[in-house]
Amino acid sequence: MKALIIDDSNLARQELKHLLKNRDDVQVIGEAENAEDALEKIIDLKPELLFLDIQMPGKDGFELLQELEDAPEVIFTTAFDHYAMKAFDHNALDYLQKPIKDDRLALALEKAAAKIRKRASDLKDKNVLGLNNQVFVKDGETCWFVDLAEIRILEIMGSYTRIFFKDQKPMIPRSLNYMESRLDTEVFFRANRQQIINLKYIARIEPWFSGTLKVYLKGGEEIEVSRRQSIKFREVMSF
Amino acid sequence: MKQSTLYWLCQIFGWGIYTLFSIGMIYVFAGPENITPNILLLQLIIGVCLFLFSHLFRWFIKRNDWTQLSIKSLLPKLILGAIVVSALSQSFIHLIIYFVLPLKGIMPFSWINFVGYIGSVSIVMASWATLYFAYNIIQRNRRSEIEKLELTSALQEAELAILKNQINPHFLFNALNNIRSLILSDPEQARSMVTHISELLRYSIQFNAAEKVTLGQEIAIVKDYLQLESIQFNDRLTYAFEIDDTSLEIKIPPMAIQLLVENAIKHGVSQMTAGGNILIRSVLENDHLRIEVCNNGQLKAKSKREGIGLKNLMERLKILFGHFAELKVENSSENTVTASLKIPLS
Repeated sequence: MKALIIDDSNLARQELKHLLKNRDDVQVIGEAENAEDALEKIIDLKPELLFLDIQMPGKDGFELLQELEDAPEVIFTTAFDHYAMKAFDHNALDYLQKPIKDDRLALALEKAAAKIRKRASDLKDKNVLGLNNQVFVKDGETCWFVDLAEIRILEIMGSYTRIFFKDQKPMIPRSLNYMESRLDTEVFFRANRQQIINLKYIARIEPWFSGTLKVYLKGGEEIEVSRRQSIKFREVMSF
Repeated sequence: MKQSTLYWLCQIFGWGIYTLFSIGMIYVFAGPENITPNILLLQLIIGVCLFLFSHLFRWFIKRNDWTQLSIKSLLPKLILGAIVVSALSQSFIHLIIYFVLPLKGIMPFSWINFVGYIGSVSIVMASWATLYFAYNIIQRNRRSEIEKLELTSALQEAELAILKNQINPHFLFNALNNIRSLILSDPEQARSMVTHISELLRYSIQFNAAEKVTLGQEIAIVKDYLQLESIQFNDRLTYAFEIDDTSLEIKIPPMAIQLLVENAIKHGVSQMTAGGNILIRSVLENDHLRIEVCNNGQLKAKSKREGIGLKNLMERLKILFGHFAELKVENSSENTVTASLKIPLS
């Protein structure tokens, strides 16, 4: 696994590098001391795994992740942050407490490796996001890594987008149009000006007024497809 | 004086005065010729009997915990008790003076007088009991007052213990992690960092929040603290001290300056990618010591997570110095935040 270490303390980075030195499953390809630095290196070096400190000058670790449209696997590292740890535990995100114990590190790496293998097995199109790509979402004190395959609806919310998955509907700081350009059109369909739906979640379809369609999703939502998109929808679904 | 001694003194004096008063009444209303040895003996017997029976009454009151009763349920019991004790004592007295030790020169026995005596002595006994209860209630109130005061001071002490500035665990574990790293790269520096962290820990354990330390002691610990923070922030943290040498012996609450410096780092230096600097200054002014901790940056709107440390410090100052101490944090210029602490000179 190619890993990037992000921590504002130089000594902490040295320490983690030392811990990883003798492991053959991880290869440290770079270090960053703040979020901006990290963002550049993530784009340049395309790490599969981030060791990410939460508290950093400027943007913190969460803010960094929210800027990534496809987040790599992340192992959070923190000295002691009551609030962050609660969020991690609640959402089963992996984190290590500094100073880091060897066996905890090994365990976290094993889990990360399994996820990375799973993702690699899905063929990725260069330009669009695959269904196993994950986005990091934070809403108040809670946060999630959401697989695109789990999202049923993306809905316009001003310049933000609200996503519906499981029983949650948090917002991500991106426009719906931007999301549309990045999503796989085989799976995600622009139903109307406000919404994009995941075709895999369609339960049934009914004809609606003047040639439009109404789509019922497995989550219980009802979506009206605009007239123009209904024509396109019939083509896509070929009926 | 012990409670029981006081009780016995009151008993002796009270009934003594009662006896003398009775003799006085005979002298005034019946004439000096009626003060015979037998009459005196009779009055003495009455005095001693009432003394004993009132003591019996007290024993009964204590045994039945009458002192715990409310006034409403006590009053009928007290009146009935006084009548019973009075009747018993009069029976006893009459038994002695007419049968056991017949006294000559006194009025012959009559039932009417007997009942009259019971009536008048009932009033005396009721007054006795009222005095007894009044004293008890006053004592109890005073005791509960004292208990309340003791409780308040215990509570304040407990509050102080809670308000005590603990070493921030985030800082502590970062420091330990950095030292772990230094052990490999620079063992000598690692050793000195372990010393700093020991000093800081010892200091925070050693002094409870009610105690005060000298400014000199606090400055030394702030230096240990800053050394440890420097290895976290590398060259992003710079700091300077401007301490008035004559102020070094002034007493201040422990960990107070440390807290202000920690805040300056947390909300100032650590937020800035380019880092920042901190200036710690002490100035003696008329009747107080002013301590200032300045850092570059600006105050932002506070979130819920912030401000607990400062609020605790304010509480501590209020408990230790009343309203004579002051603490404020403000933007002192366009790019400086200053926390200033005013400690009265005692």
